[in-house]
Amino acid sequence: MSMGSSWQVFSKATPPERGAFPLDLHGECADIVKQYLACMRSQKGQAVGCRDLTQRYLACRMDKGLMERDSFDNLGFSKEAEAAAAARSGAAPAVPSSPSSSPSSQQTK
Amino acid sequence: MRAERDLNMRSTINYVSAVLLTLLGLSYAAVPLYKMLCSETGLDGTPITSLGHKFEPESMVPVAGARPIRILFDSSVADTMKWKFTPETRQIHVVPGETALAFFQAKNPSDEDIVGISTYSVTPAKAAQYFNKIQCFCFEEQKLAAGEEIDMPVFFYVDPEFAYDPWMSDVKTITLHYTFFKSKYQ
Repeated sequence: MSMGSSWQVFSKATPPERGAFPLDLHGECADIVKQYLACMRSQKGQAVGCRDLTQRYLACRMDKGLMERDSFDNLGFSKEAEAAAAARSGAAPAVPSSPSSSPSSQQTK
Repeated sequence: MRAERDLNMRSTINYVSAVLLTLLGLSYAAVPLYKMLCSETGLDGTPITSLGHKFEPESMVPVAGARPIRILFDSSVADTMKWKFTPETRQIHVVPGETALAFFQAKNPSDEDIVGISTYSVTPAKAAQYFNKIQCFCFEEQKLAAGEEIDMPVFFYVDPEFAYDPWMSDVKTITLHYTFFKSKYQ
């Protein structure tokens, strides 16, 4: 509890809202991690281009019991957020269009 | 007269012992009570784990037209720590309000199980208040068996307020640095 507190005061950083991710010891979502990293490389680090994979990774964690199940609205995938992201990726120049593996085939609840 | 004094004496003793017992009970209850208070308010760096404290979904909407920020990821391990620990995503470009995932990779190349715990820092320090981590691998001990290798995710977003803060206008890059230490308890 007081473990990092003096450091916290120093750097004025706050602890994560939902605590820690449990480790994916059996590599159950490792495939999606690989896809995501490949996507980030192809998008030159533009997070907006890999949103579907981000969502799929979180969905995978929830499905495997490695994350508390929650609405994607609370994770930055609400309708407003999607619309804003779509507007942004549309406006971003010279970014190769991602192979649109839509997350709709996944459980997105 | 005497009977009355005895009664007075007895009730005084009863009152005093009741007060003492209550105080004794409270002192035992202090630990769970403080735990509740801290996880409710996030006091003293305790992660806010109680329900009803989720970050608001309204704040996780990418700010239209905002300047993108470059997030750099960096890592180190303490001298006595035998893990290998490297960021898998070197940098990510986000706008305020946009949630994103970053991965670090930890490997235990030694032939013994090692428990590690990490701390992090955000530079520049003035931007740290806007760097919201939704979930990560920090603040808890993580055990890696001998030879085990694992992806460690950080799910974060930069607060939308960042875009409107004039003090942040010169912040183009935010660096997130993690350090893994060997845990004492193993």
